[in-house]
Amino acid sequence: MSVALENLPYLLRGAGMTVLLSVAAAVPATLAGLCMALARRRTPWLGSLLDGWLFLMRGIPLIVLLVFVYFLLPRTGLDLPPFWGVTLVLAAYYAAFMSEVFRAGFDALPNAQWEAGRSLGLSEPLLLFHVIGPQALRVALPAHLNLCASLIKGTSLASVIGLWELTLASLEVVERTLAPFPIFLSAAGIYFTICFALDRLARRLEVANG
Amino acid sequence: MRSYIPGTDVAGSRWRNPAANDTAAPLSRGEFLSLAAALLVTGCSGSDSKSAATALPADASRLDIVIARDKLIVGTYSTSPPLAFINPDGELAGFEIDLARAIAKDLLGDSEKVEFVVLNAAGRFPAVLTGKIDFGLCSTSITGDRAARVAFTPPYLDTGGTVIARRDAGLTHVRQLNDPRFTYALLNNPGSIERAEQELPRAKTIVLDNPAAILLATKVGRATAFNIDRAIAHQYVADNPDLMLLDTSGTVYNHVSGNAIFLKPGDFKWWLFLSTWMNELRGGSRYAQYRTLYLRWFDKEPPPQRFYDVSRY
Amino acid sequence: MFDVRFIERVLPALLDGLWITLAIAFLAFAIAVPWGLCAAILHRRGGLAAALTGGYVQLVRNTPVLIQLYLVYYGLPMAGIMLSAFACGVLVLAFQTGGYAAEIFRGSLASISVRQFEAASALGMAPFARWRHVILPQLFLRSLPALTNQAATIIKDTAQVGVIAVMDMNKVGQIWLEKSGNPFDVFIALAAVYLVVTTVVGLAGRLIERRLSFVQ
Repeated sequence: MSVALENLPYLLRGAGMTVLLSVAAAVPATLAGLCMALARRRTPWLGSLLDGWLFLMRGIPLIVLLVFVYFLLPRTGLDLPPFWGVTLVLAAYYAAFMSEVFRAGFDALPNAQWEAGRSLGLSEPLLLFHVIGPQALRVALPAHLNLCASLIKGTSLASVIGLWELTLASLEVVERTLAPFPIFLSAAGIYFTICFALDRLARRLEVANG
Repeated sequence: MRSYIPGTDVAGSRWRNPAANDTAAPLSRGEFLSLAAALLVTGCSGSDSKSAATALPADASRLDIVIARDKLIVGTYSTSPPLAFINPDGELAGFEIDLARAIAKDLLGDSEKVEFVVLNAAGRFPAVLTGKIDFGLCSTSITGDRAARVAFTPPYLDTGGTVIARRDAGLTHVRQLNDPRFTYALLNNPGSIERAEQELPRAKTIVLDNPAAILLATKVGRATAFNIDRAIAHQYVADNPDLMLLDTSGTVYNHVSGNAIFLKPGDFKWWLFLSTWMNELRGGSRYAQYRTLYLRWFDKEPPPQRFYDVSRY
Repeated sequence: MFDVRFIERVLPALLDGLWITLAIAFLAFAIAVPWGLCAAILHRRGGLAAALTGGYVQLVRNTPVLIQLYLVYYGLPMAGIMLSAFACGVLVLAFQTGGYAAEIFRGSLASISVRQFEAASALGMAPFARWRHVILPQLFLRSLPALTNQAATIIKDTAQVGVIAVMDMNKVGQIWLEKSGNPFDVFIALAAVYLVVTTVVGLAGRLIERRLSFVQ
């Protein structure tokens, strides 16, 4: 176990990169998911477009998308460093799932809420911001946090295209120390700690929501 | 920008395979931050170089552009020690980095007048073709199909795959590995897969994604031997007493290919300068410098300046 | 837009890989379902069993498959156990999917009223018969949609076994990609096959669902 302790700082730096990558992807994914959920309510034809998107993201493995974008982006002349390429893919992938979660959140509210707000003379944005939004988000938050945990696990795939983060860091350490059990277990422990914290938060919110 | 470096401070002990020329270049957090910073300030530096360039005719050679700009922009990797990697101080270092600095010294009088752009394997050729960088200097071996797309200088390094095996396998020659009892680990690049098919058709092969994985697979006993770049193979063996180099005589593993600088084709003046410079380095007036760099980064003597003994003629 | 003739050449290679993908997914799923069911039933008993199964589920939910694959592939040989890469892949995916299946079964089990258990035992049914004839049929029916999703997920997850040198469809695709330098067409072919397979699995799940609910 001393091997694990000795290399923990290095793994934790890798975890820092994992967190950075997760945040960089989760924030735009959440915003895009929210926009997609809202847009779907207003424009029906957009709905089928988003369904198509969701179908693709549901059916194609994340790792396939990552490798594809890694190889294809440089050719488009869109010159993104690998970090942003990975971020882009993760965000696009999870935005699709998040939009579903938010849609469920909006759908969970009775239509009467909209009508009541409108009859009070609230404009659509105001209504959304003050009445519907907060409630829908509260409903959607636990599932959203679960998706965030899934996204954090998904960042490990970035190691396959050579982006340095926790998984690649642990592989490097194992190669040097030849101690797969302690090192990979430590890495798993770090992932677990981050994701489990999110999971607990999600459970607590779920309980709070009743 | 200074930040910590993955790979080097822990690994330190040993060099990573520069990935048989073709693996993906990971991006460390340090690089990420500097790239992010570069994106933010991209307006300034971009317009800078442009204003210098616009003073020249539209068909000006890259050579004139570089001199007018008073700075060289070189594409490099950052994760292929000892060729190009980030050292514990957070700076790019390595054989290829030193070469670029030496070119800047001759061209612009100052080895610091270089800007390095970190590339990955998939992005390196687009980077020269679009003119984003003046040339690429990143573990790229010359192949016929690549030569149709980009221009190469003469090589600065002889490379090629060689084979390292577990000592306890009791092998001495690569050919003995050609047996279904043995497993041969290699990276996913067409060259090494082709060589394995040609030389070791009967051995089981496993294809892994990164250099750490092939070494690890061999060390834990998943593979008997693995394919590795010739330039750094001896370093691996020095660091891992349980591994040994196999005799490759009479096989394709004894063939070499050359790592070379690549640039946008069609710019004769620029290509001529770089090629002349490279010829002087490897076989002419700058051989002493080549030897110094070679000893520094590979810890062994470079190939001789001439293939014949000069004192006899 | 894309090169049909190139795709014609890639597809047979990918389909070779597809058999490995499907074999791993099928084996893992076949192990995971009974395994998850056992975990869910154990969980219901409370106490230590519940704590253990709960911990197991949390473990698979919160650690990446990739790390689990590395752990098994590189770790077991150090302990003197040399499983093939294929077996490692099946093991990890079964372990992973088993955790999710346990969650699914646990949820469905919780939705089955306690009265049903009481009613069945009041009728004098033995515990085994109670499960066999009353609880399990309902449990499977209620879990089916989620299990179908899980089956599609496991097929997508098999794409990761390439990192431990299993020649699954994705790995074959990556080798072709490196060889041909044609990422776009390889991707189109690869994505299309994955989409077809996951869609077929989804449809099959729905078909079974409809059949079973009709029977009920």
